[in-house]
Amino acid sequence: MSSGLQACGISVERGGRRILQAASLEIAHGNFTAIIGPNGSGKSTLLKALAGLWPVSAGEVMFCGKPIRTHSRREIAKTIAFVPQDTRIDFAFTVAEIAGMGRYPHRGRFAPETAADRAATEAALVRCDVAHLKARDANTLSGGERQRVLIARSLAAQPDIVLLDEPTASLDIEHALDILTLCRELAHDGHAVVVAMHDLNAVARFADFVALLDEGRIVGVGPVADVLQPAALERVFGVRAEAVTDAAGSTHFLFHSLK
Amino acid sequence: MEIKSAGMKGAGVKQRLRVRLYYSVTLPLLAISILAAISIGSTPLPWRTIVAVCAIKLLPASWLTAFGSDVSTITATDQLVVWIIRIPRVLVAAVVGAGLGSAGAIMQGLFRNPLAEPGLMGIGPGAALGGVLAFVTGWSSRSVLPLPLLAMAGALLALGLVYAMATRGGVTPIATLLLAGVATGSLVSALSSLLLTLNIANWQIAQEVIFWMMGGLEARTWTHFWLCAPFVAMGLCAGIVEGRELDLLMQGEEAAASLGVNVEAAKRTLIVTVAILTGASVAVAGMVGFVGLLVPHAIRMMLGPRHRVVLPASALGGAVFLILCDLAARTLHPPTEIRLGVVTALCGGPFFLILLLRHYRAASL
Repeated sequence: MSSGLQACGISVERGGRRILQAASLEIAHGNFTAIIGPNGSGKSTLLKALAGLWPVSAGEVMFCGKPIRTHSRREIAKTIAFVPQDTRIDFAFTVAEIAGMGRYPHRGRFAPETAADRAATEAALVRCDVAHLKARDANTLSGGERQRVLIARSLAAQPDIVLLDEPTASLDIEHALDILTLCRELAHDGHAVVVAMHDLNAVARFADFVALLDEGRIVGVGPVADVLQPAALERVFGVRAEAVTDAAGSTHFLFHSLK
Repeated sequence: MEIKSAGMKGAGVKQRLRVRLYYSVTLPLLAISILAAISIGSTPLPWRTIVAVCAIKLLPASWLTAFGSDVSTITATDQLVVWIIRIPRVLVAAVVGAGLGSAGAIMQGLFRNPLAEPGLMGIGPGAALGGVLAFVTGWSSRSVLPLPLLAMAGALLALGLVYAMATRGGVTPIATLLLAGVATGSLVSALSSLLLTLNIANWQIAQEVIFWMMGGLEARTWTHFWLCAPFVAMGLCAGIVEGRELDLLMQGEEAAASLGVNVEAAKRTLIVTVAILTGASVAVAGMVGFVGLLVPHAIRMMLGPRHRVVLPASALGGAVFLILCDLAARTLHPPTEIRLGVVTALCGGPFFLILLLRHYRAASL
């Protein structure tokens, strides 16, 4: 389980523009880490760099003690799962087929599906509460179901680290809560879960750690209560944040425009 | 819960049954259409004659007595019609159909678009231009080889150009590839038209060029078959080997990469595979449209989208489809042959619409 993943002062450039600058972050197992920040602050970029999907122009993403770019995609995929924001499914693959694709890094080119493959896929489907949809064509699912199926696909690879890029972006409140609860449970099971997200109240409720991004720089990192401070939120998001404590003792934020 | 899980198991079994059903219908259909296409024509031939000629050509002389009087009554004309004229043509039709069918399936997966077809990357137009060059230079009238070889060279050159334009730093974005392909395709087609216009005064050449652009299999020989079959076989195998990668690429490149696929390498292999399949097919048949669009689409509706299933099934379906289309092209309006590309579009269009309507009706239920 000692599959350490950390960003060491990484910068990412795209089209001559620096989207991420000297960002350092260590991913901890058993924790739910939220990456927050305004649109365009580099949340997705940080996640993709951590997943080894985007090359870095400076610094290094270290994975298992070596730069991640020296690992093969297949090796990375066995440990790090990445659930992209693009959940489009154009062709009529069944849910079982989609989830089974998560087994790709474990299977030989012509190896038939083994009992272990089937068991891992089945477990992932059950975990994400979509086992009853197995025979459905994935392009007929609702947004919430599709997101859960894609998480199941990533879990079928039996990864230690799960990175999710705004998994609740297009979901209604009920399905968003389902997804975040699932992420919380995955962290509880010992996974390192890293989620790029927008809803700061959900962050306060579900996450253990937060990395706060502002224009490509990590301007705050640490336990939720330390980072989610009204002053920092005002500086980064340009809104006045008011913290209220409910009867149960948990903190909620109310936001007011500065104008 | 129990009922549901029984239903799930049923779905997997049902799909496997459907694949088996598909092959148990299509394989005999292939045999029947090959036999029918050899037998039907201006000189109708009974199937016994066809079998006897094949026996004479393929079996050692000492075995032939087993066929008795069938063999002894075979004339030189029978041999010529069956072995030199009809069989190569039918086999070329089968191979071209297989090549275009599987090339279309790969293109649609690669572009994540069910409307993609082999011509999209400029490969088809490139091959066509090569063919046109062979006609206007007069090389095609001197021997069999210049036409298919120039067509293949045209396909590979067009692909090389498109690929080089779309690739920066080892990365080939599919959208850029599409744009470069469409641009190159129009440019190359314009060159073909230019050559045609310049040679319109020489009606014989112009006619050859026009016919080539409409596709056709008249006067195809064993040489054509051997020029095309190895490449189609190679391309089909490569496609099946990369089938799982193609399934994953259909989920989006980021998803595929995060699941362990070496995306750029897989794309490169698949693009070259499409070029080989399309180039070899266009080289011996001219421009035959619709097969690469229609066949994989129909197969996916029947058997689902997994490429390890779709690719071989599309090859088989494409072979049967093109043999029957070529048979129709030869026999519908004798003595004139209708151009093969015209027949595929005329048969394929309505069939495609029916499938599409049925699909949407089923989806809306």
